[in-house]
Amino acid sequence: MKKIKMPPGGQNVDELMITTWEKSVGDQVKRGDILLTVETDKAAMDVESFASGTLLKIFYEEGEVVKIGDVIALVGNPDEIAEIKKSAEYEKSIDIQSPTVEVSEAIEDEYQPIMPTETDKAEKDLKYEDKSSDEFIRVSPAAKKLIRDNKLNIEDIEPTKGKISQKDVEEYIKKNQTTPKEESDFKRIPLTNARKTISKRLTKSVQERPTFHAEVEIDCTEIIKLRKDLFEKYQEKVSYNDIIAKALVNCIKEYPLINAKMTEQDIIVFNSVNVGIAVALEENLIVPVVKNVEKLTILEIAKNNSENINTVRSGKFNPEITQNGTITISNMGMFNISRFTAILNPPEVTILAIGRINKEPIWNEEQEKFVAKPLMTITGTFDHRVVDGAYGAKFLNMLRELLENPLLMLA
Amino acid sequence: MKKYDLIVIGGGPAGYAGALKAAQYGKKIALFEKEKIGGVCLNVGCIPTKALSSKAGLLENIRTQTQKEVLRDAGLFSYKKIQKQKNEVVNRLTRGVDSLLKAAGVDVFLKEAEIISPNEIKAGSEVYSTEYILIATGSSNLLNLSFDNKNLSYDSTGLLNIDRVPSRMVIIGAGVIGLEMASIFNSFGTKITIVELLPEILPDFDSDVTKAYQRQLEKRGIEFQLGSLVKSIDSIQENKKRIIFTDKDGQEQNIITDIVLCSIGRKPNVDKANAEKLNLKIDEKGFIVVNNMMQTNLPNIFAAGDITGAPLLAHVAIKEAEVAVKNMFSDKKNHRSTNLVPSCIYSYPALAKIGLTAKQAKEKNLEILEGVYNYIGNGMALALEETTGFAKIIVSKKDKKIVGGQILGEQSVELIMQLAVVIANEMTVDQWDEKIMVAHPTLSEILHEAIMDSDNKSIHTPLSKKS
Ligand SMILES: Cc1cc2nc3c(=O)[nH]c(=O)nc-3n(C[C@H](O)[C@H](O)[C@H](O)COP(=O)(O)OP(=O)(O)OC[C@H]3O[C@@H](n4cnc5c(N)ncnc54)[C@H](O)[C@@H]3O)c2cc1C
Repeated sequence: MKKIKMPPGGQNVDELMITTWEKSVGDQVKRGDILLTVETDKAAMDVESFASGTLLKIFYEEGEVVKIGDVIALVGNPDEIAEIKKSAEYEKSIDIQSPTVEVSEAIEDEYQPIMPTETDKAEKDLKYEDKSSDEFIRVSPAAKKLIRDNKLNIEDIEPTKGKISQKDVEEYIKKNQTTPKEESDFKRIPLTNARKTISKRLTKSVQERPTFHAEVEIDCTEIIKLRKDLFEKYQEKVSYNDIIAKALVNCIKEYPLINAKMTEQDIIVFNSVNVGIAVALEENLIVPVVKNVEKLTILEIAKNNSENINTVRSGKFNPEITQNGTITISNMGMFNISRFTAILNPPEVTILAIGRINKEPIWNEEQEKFVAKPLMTITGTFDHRVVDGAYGAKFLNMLRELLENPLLMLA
Repeated sequence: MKKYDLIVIGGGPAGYAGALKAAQYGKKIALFEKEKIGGVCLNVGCIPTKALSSKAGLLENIRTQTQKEVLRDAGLFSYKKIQKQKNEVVNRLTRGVDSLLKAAGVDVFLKEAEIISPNEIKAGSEVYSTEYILIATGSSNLLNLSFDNKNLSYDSTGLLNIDRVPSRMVIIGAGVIGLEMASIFNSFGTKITIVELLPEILPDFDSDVTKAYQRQLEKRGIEFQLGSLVKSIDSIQENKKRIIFTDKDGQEQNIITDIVLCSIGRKPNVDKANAEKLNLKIDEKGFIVVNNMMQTNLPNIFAAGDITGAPLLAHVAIKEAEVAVKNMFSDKKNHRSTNLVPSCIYSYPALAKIGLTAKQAKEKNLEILEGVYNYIGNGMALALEETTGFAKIIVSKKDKKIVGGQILGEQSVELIMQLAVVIANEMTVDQWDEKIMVAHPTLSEILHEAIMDSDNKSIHTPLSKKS
């Protein structure tokens, strides 16, 4: 029979609390099996059995604090217990919590398992995380235990100074804990890949690009008429977006930096104008691109655009349709939004946010009274690294002028 | 008073080899050994460590095959039985050396000897006179270190005698002995940290080789604290020690451990006062100064082995003793050669080197070509399931002579000796190619491919990798 004693718990530790017994009286234990877990105020650890046999007796229960070196359990052959029991000393030994019976001093088992025990293995497995890079990350024993117990992935935990400490793991756990504990308080929506991509792109856009916003109000009297005329003449529905896209081409000729991108060394100004028009889908936002708008008539733009929208809505499209945009238009008029700002679609430097058309009273000098006019806001978001404030303002004003007098587009 | 042709002091590799060599000249010889015939090497060095490392390798093999489910149960092992087997090996070998000495007619005295004049030694109360003296008193572990003033650490000899496997061990010093012990005890289940002052291990090897080697040991769970200075060791509980060191970032760290092994170097077994009295020249560390004929400044006193300083290796000791004895008893003068000393680390994986490294070639301004071949490309290595490692061959660019090699991996300590033959005979890459046919399948083919690779002629290296 062998006495299992409370093992040393490290520096300046005289006693340890038993957290859980992993085995019960009567269980078979092998050398290396975890018998119980104990903890100090700082760390937790597993206590392995150094002996094989039956767990005959447990002297301390969970929650009790035990001095290091005190006998906490007996492991041996069930026959032995019968003998000791007969000696009548046994029960007494339990009362005084340290067996006075003569049990042979624990002789070490001569044979030990060749394969590492579960605890060893967990340690070794941690080591085997050969982080593919040559950098080797050390993990403190307390951290290892926490990682193991919480079934965490070691790769996720950020080491400090090349070493993962208990604190690093605790911080990681804290950060990743969602506070409301009861599942009924919230609903968990798993991130789709599309959502992940959107969030990555937008975050990157905002983090990397200093932007400014500027807004113009446009009297839409003329473009409303233009739409009507075009429909009467060609039976084609032309959207405001199409007309804005067409007007953009003229403005960009004058203000080429609007249609550009920035690299580390230079600014690249595009010759062709590829206009992305944002389409909101059920759970996604797609920006199909009408390419080479500078070569297209308004009707052609409209045709391309409506084809794009249909393709995107069908859900089956080649990603190419969203590529190579040089400028983007996002329209929330149909959602009854008066004005909004949009986030740049990298690497583009301009995005135009279009609001609804609304009748507003406008002072008419000649008639000396307010006259109702259909007004629309266009809010530009510009990458300030490329587009200066005045430049952006002039661009927007030219756009306003063209939309208010569409005939000028012919000029 | 008996008169001898040669009196040898010390019964280690240098001593017994010197005595046996002298016997071949038909000389009358006495050998004095104060402890055990065989010296450090046979009793507490080369041989017992290899008895342990062979068992360590066996356990590693069993683990691999159990993980692959070739074996269903790995079973249990007894460290006590491994120890017993180790002791049997040592006893057989020392008895063997003893009987060789007796058969050669050497008078063996198990006594401590002291030189009293260039022609006389004293053992106990008796004085023996002699024509020549060979000092082969060897070296011992450095102990009583400032950071360990309570003598809590083990040396290699102490560690070899423990009767149970410690669960935690910190090894101070990442030299050959420290690395071998780390590898051995890691296989037996000890969690090991090596604390080393230098920023890298084994500076005599090329650093691409040692980096790969270190990574392999780390993969097995051995932890390295390089660039770290040990400050103190104290005892915190029964059988628990705490070692405190500053790590490479200057942070103080401590580890609680069962055992601390101190393997930071060895010191000569020399009686400094006596050396001074005799006017025998020793260096500042106490090693005996010899010329390349192994002769001391006193013409009829020679010295060989660890007592003459680095490299502290048994094969060097044996060679030096033979050179010394030849210079005593034959007309042909013999010189010790130092450039072809094989250096082997019997860890898992093993590491071996001979001749020049790329680093040394650079220091000598020798333009070189390098050839490399990986174990994983070799059929025998695959069959043995020992695919870790590579051979790196150094070739002189000018004349394509093979001048050095380093091998990491299974059997590297044996393979390296082929290169000894090649280098000693100044063989070129083309001569090897023409004359040597390597048996297939063998690990030796790795050497062949590495040699051919130095000239971009290895047919088993993908063409795309050649530059
Ligand atoms: C753990 C360990 C592993 C090693 N592994 C290897 C290895 O794998 N390969 C390798 O090549 N080398 C190895 N070595 C080194 C090798 O053991 C030594 O290089 C070798 O033993 C040197 O031989 P030597 O004859 O010079 O000295 P020693 O072997 O030290 O023998 C000297 C002998 O002289 C005796 N002596 C000293 N003073 C006196 C005196 N006044 N009178 C009488 N007797 C005296 C000593 O008792 C001793 O027996 C290892 C060393 C250690 C410690």
